[in-house]
Amino acid sequence: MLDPFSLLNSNYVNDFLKIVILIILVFYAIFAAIVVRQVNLMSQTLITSISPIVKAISLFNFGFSLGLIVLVIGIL
Amino acid sequence: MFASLVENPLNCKFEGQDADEDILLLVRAHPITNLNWILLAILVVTVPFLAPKISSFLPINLSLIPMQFQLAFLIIDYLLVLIIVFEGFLGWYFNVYMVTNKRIVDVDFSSVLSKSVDLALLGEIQEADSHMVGLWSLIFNYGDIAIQTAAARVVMDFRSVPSPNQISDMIMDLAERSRL
Repeated sequence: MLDPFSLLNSNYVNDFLKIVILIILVFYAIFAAIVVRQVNLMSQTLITSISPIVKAISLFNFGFSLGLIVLVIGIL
Repeated sequence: MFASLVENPLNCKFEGQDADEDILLLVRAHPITNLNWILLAILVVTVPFLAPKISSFLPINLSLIPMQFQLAFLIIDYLLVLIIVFEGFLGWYFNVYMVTNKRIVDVDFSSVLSKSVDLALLGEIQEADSHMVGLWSLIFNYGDIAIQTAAARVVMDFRSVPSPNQISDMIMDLAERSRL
């Protein structure tokens, strides 16, 4: 019986999946950028002691999402 | 820092706060309301562990998926977890209701791209009705508070806040005091 997952080893499916994964990661990076803006807005509205930490996490998340795009281009 | 009901919070200010204005009460939704996104995050975390077990009952062999794709799907899965947890926390932490010595402030970030800040002067408040509906509300002591002004219009809704009776009583005491 032909296993549908064996198709993943073909070049066309491979390239298609690579593009799909990259599109997902690009959308994630856009979302992460929106989250940075959202966190800035939230931190301006309610100023608390953890605001700088939350801002740092959002920036790290955005940087991480950009780094992942580069990484995935490299490994796939 | 992560409490859902704080009296006279320290190191906390809000946009538009007057110099002579003090925050008397800072209220967030009850922590139990976070259970939805916590359970969702746990479910998504377990997907990579459950997938091989589930696939053993199906006529598919996940080990045939190339290693680099398995890694990419794992990364996407954990990104999803990260965003569920981060957005869940942000939504809970920054959606606050504040009672100051002058007014009531409702800060609402209902989605990533929306922000609303509702204000009501304490002196204009006529009623603060609390409602606890459902088993969870009764077990964990949380509920909603509807605040009305003189025009008998609901101007603010405190949603799923802890000890709603205590908060509504405090709001009414402050409203009466500000009218004197």
